[in-house]
Amino acid sequence: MRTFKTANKRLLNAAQIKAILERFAREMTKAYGNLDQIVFIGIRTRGPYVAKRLAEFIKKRHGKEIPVGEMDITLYRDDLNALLPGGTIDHTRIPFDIANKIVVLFDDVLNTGRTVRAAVDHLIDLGRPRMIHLAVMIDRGGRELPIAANYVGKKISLAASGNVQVRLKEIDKTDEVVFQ
Amino acid sequence: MRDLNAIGRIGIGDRGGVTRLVFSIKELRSRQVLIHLMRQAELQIHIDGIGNIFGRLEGSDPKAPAVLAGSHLDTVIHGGKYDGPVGVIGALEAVRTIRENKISVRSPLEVVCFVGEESSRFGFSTLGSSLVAGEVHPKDLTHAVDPQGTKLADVLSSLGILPRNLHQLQRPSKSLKAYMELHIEQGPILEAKAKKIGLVTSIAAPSRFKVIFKGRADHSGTTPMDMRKDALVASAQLIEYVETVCRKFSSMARGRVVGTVGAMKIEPGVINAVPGRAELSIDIRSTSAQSKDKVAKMVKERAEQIALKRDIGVKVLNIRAENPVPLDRRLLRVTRTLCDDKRIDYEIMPSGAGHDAMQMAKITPAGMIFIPSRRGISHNPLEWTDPGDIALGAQLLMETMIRVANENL
Repeated sequence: MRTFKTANKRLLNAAQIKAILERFAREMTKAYGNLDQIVFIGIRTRGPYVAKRLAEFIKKRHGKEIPVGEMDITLYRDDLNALLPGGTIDHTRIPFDIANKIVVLFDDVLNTGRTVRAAVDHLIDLGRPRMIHLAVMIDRGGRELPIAANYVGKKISLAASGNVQVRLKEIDKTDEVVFQ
Repeated sequence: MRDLNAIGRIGIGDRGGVTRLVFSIKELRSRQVLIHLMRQAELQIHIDGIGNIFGRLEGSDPKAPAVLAGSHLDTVIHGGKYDGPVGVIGALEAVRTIRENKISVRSPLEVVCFVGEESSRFGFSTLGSSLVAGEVHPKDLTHAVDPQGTKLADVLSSLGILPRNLHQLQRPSKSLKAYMELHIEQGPILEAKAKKIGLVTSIAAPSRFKVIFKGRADHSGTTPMDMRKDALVASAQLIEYVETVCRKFSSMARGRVVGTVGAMKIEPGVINAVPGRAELSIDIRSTSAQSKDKVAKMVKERAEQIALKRDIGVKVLNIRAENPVPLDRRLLRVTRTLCDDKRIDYEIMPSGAGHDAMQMAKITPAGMIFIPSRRGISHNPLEWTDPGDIALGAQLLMETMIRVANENL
């Protein structure tokens, strides 16, 4: 059998990722004023790391502590059948109240929009935020649902068959975004 | 109420009924919400091998046995939003209030959510609490199948639950000081007597059996009345007898027996044939094992007599006979004293329905507090309990927990 070697195309390097987070911080402080009503929630697996980094950056720059949580959307996927893929129900960790807060959801890549739909449904079951906004590192298009991000790191249009990988130091030992 | 409503929205259907069958996606989501609420309340969370959730608040003596309070979040099909969640969220509210107000407690407090209290999906009731009480052998679970044909064993394995690990779930009695459960009454007594609180003495248990009358299916036009062997008329006599005998045993002193013929199958079941076969499903319950057994025996004997007199066949098939469970008298004394002190009008009563408390009673002193159900309706979208009554019940639960955590029983 013949095998093909897939070439990785780097879309963002570490410095560019850092610059994006700095831009997010600027945009959010401008949009939300004193940030009192803001909470960050990252969609697992990589969303929480993006959220944590940004929160740390904002704390350093503005001295403001933003609560950060993480969510596992497995139970809200629209392709679940009666038997569940893995039954972990305690991976959503949001140790604060989201009622009447402005929740900024974080995900690494925005594609079909189905993950975000699931995350919004999950969030609504946990409480009633005043607003839910969305921040993504990469928006690669290909939407199947009417969903748009409020904060986009980089917008790209790529072949549907390709795979965009956001790699973060915390779990991938490197900061980069590649297209396979 | 906000948390209770949040749970109540999960699995709600078009006509307001709530369906969260055990191990369904909706039921798992409700448990996920509970874990979120417990985490927000800064409780230490432990999820055991079947999925029972424990949220713990340490007391001043970490070695002291824990005071548990809770119930379940799973429901029947098209049920209500109070049966179960009231006890879980009531306990959470109690422990949260204790923590926020820095009320000192010696024993640790645990909010517990038991898995699968309702038997609606796999025919097993009080699944989670039975395992914690060491009352069910994991082997007994392997053959259970839901009405859609899904095997319990497959569901468990998809959730990463290994049946062989389930017998490790039993909580040692010495780690527990007491278990308290707040629950809606699911019956009409409190409302009828205008009482706000029911203090439960014991939990009734059912004897269930089938009586099958075998007559002869004949043509309804050609068979004279004196030549018939009608299985349904025999059944009618027995059904009436069940009511009559249970009424005789309905007083508290005689065990408050209730009897129901809840299902019947008739063959051939057509308008122009004399019923040749009738199968009655009979449920007799009481808080007194003696009264229950006596009534069940009387009903079975009467079935034989009816069959003999009518010259037809009869067969009795026993389905299940359980023993009623007395709840702890010391806990009852605590709740009673608290009600007296606060001038709350209460009713001392047995529970006609089964609850997780009946399993927990086997390993620790267990008590129950009932609050009124409007018109006694339960397992129905119309299930309703006044928010003020829920708050009062949760308050009483909290004060009971504090007292039990700080004093010797």
